[in-house]
Amino acid sequence: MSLEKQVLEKLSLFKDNWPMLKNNLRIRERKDKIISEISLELLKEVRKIKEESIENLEQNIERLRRALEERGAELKIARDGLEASKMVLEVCKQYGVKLVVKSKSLTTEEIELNKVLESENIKVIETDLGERIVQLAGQKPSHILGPAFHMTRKEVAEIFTEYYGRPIPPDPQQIVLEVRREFRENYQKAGMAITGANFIIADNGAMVLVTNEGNDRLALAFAPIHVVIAGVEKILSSTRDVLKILKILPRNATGQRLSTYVSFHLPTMTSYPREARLNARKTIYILIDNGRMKARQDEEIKEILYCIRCASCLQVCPPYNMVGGHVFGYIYSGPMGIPWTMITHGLEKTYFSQLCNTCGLCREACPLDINLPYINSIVKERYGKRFGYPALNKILKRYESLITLASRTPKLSNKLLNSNSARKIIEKFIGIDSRRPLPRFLEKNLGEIFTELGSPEKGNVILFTDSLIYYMYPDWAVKAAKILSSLGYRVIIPSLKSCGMPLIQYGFMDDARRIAEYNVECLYNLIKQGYVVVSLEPTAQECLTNYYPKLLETEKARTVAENSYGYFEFLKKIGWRDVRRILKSIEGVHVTYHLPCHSRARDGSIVVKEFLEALGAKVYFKRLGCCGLAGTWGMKKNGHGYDISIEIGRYLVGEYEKLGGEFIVTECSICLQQFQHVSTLPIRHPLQLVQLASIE
Amino acid sequence: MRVNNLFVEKLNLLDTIRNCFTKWTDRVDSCMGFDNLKLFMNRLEDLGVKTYLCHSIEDLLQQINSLIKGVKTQILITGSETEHKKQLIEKLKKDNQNIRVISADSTTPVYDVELSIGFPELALANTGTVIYRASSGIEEASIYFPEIHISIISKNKILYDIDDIENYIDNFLRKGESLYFVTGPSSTADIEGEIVRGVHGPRTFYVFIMDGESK
Repeated sequence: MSLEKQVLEKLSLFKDNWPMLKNNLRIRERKDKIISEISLELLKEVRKIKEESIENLEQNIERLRRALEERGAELKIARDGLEASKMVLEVCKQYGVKLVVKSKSLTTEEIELNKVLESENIKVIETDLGERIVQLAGQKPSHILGPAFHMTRKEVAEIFTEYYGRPIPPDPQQIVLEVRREFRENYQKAGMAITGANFIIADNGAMVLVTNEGNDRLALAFAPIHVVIAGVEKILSSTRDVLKILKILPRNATGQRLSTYVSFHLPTMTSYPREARLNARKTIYILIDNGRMKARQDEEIKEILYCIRCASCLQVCPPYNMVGGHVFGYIYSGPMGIPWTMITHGLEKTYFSQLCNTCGLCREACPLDINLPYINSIVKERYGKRFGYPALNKILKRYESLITLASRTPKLSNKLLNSNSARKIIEKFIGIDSRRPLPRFLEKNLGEIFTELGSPEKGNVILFTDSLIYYMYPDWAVKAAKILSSLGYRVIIPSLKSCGMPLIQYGFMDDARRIAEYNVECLYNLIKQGYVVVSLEPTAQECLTNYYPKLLETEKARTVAENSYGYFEFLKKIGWRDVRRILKSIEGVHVTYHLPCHSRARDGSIVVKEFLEALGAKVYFKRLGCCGLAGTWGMKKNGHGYDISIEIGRYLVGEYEKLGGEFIVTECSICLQQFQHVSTLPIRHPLQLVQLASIE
Repeated sequence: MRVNNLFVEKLNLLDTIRNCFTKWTDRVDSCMGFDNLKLFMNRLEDLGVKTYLCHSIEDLLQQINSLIKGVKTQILITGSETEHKKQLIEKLKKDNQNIRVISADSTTPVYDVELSIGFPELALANTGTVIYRASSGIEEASIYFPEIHISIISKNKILYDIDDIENYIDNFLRKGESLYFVTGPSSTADIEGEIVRGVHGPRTFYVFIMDGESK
C-alpha cells in the first residue's frame, strides 16, 4: 500500500480520537512538572558522556569483554540481525530451550528475532504488556515506549478475548489481572530469558535495565539462561556515566524522577532454584553492529548514536502523533526512527521520512540536542539521490520561481488561484491540494515599496523577510521597519534569496547549500560594515542560525548566525521600555498566542508573548507545537501533507478556542495561513495589533 | 550545540551558579539529615506507596502484624542482614504461629508467598527509591513475586539523590552483587495511558522507616 493510502487509512481510523497524540500528551503533562529539575549543565555532561562512549567504542568493547570473562559470561558481537538470531538459535538448540520469555527489547524487534525462533518451533512470549498486546495482534510496536499506544481498550480487550477464548472486559485493571496470572506461569516454565539493555557498563560488565512493569526482573529471576541483546552503542564506560544518564532518561521518557525498576544486573547471579537446587545461570551478551559501526564514521548522521531512546522526539512530532509509528516508521518510528531505519534496515525503508515536516520540535525536545531535523533532511537527500525524489517535492522545490512568476501578473494569478478548475489543474500537475486556500498576490511587492528607512543613531539593521512577506504581506515589513527606525535604527532590505527551508525540508541539500552560500555572502559583507540581521519570519531566522552554519560549516556562516536575531527577540534586546515608549498601548485586548515552531529566542523566552504583554494585552498561551502547515508541506495534496496538516490544525484550534482570546496571534505567516483556514477565530500578526504612538 | 553567543553563555553561567548553590544546600541538608526523611516520605506518597515512621522494633512489629492479618501462608524476608531483620524474624515467628516465616537465603519456592519483607541497602529521598542488592534469583524473586512488598529501612540509610551513590554501587558490583532500585509499585500505562498497578511486580508497596540508628 502506498504511503499516501496508509496515511489516509490511519487518519480515518484515528479521527478525533487521536490515540497517539493523547498518550503522548499525558506524558508531556507529567514531564512539564519536573523537567525543570534537569540543568543545562547536566544535559551537556550527558551529551559528552555519549560522545566519548561512541568515540571509544572499540576500547570499551574490549574492556567489557574482559569484565564479562572474569564473571564467567560470554560476549559475542553480531555483524547483523541474521547473525545475532543464529547465535540465539544455537544457544536454544544447545540447551533444548522451547519457551523463551522476552523483556522489552527494541533491538530484538530490529532484528525480528521472534520470526527466526518461531520458525524453529521455539515459543516466544513478550512480557511487556504493550509488546504482548501487539504480539497477539500480529502487529509491530507503534511507539518505542508504548508499543500499543495506537489501540483503544476495546481493541485490547478483543485481542485478549480471542486469545483466552472467554470474554475479557475492556477494563485495563481487569486485563492486567488476567495477564499477570499468565505471565507468572510463563516465567516459571521458560528455559531462556532474553532482555535488551538500556546500558552496559564496560568497567564491570553490568547491564542496566529500566522498566516500570518489572517484567525483566521476573524473567531473569527464574530463567537458567539469560541472553542480552543490545546495540553496541549501549556500552558506557562507567557506573558514573549510567547514573548521570539516569537523571535525565526517566524524566524525559515518562515524566518520572526514576522509573519504577532500575536494575544493575551482573552475570554472576544464580537463577531461581528449580527442584530445590541452585543452578548457575548462563549469561550471553550479544551486541549487534547492524550498521552502527559504519554510522560512527558518518559525520553527517553520527550523533544519532547518542540517542538514549527517551522518545521525547516522538512525543512532540506532529505528523507522527496523527498517524502513529506503523506509518511513520519501520521498526524504529517517529523522528529518531528515520536515521535509525537507515542505519539498521537500509535507505530503501526510509520512504516514510516524507512525513517529517521539518518543524524542528524534535530537536527542541531532545535532551541530548541531537540535530534530528538536519539529520532527517540528510536521510531524505540520500534517499532522493539513490531512489529519486518524490515528483511532488521536485516541483515544490521551485517554489520561489513559482511565486516570482505568479507575482509578475498578480491579477491573473489571483484569478487563477481562485478558480476551482484552475486549482484542480494545479493539484493534478503541481500537487498543491485544491482545498488549501492560498494568499493573494499584491500589485506591488516589498522591493517596489521599500528601499531603506531611518538613520543609524543606534545601529544598522538588515530586515530579512523571506518570500511570503516579500510578496504577500509587505505591509508587515514596512511596519516592522518603521518601528525599528523609530527606535533609532537604519533599516535596509537587501536583495536576498528566500531562506531555502523547502529545499532543506525535502532534502535538496545541494540547492539549499547554494542559497545559503548566496545569502551568507551578502549578509556577511553587510555585517562587516556594522549591520545586524533581523528576521521577520521565524523560519528565516531558523535557517540563518541553525541550518546555514550546519550546511556550510564556514566561519562566515557562523558569523551571520551570531549576528542574526528574530524580530521580536531584537525588540527585547532593545528593551521593552523603549518599545512601549514608541507604540500605543493595547490594553484590554485579549489574545491567544500561538508559538511557531521556528520561533526560538536565544534565552528561551517567548518573546512575542512578552511583547504583547509589555504593551498591555492579556495573552492566553498554551504550548501546543506545530500548526501543521509547515511551509509547502501541508499544501501537498491529500495524504502527502494536506490531510495530516488539517488534522493537526484542528486539534490546535480546538485547544486554542477554549482559552478565551478574541484573536489568535502568531508571528509566522505560514501558521497564520493555517489558522485562517481551520479556525473560526480571527487571526492576526502581532504587528497588525500595534500602532506607532507618533501616528496619533 | 546551537549557536554560541553571549546570551547563552550568560544563561549557562547563571544556571551553573544556581545548580551549585542548590546542590550545596541540598548536600548540607542531606548531611544533617534534615530534609531527606520528609522528602523521601513525600515522594513515596506521591508514588502511591504507604509509609510509616517506626520508633522501635515493637512499633514496627505492631504495624506489620496489622498488615499480615490477611496473609494465610507464608512471609518471605530478604535483604541486608541487620539487627532489625533478626529481631523481626524472631518476633514474627513467635507472634504468628500459623504463618511460615522464611528467609530468602533458603531454597524454598516463592510461588505461594503472598507477602515479602525486604531490608534495602539504601534509599534515595529525591526519587522515593529503595535499593536492594541480590546475588541470587531467589532474592530477586522475593522482591518482585509477591503481591505485597514491605521495605524496612533505617532513617540514616536515606541519601539525597542518585549522585550520592556512585561509590556504593561500584563497591557492590565489584563484589559481584547486583543492585535493584525500586521506586513505587509495578505499573503500566500501556492501555490508553491509564496507570494500572501490579502488572508483574507487587501491586501494593509499603515502606517502613526506622527512626533511630541502624542496627
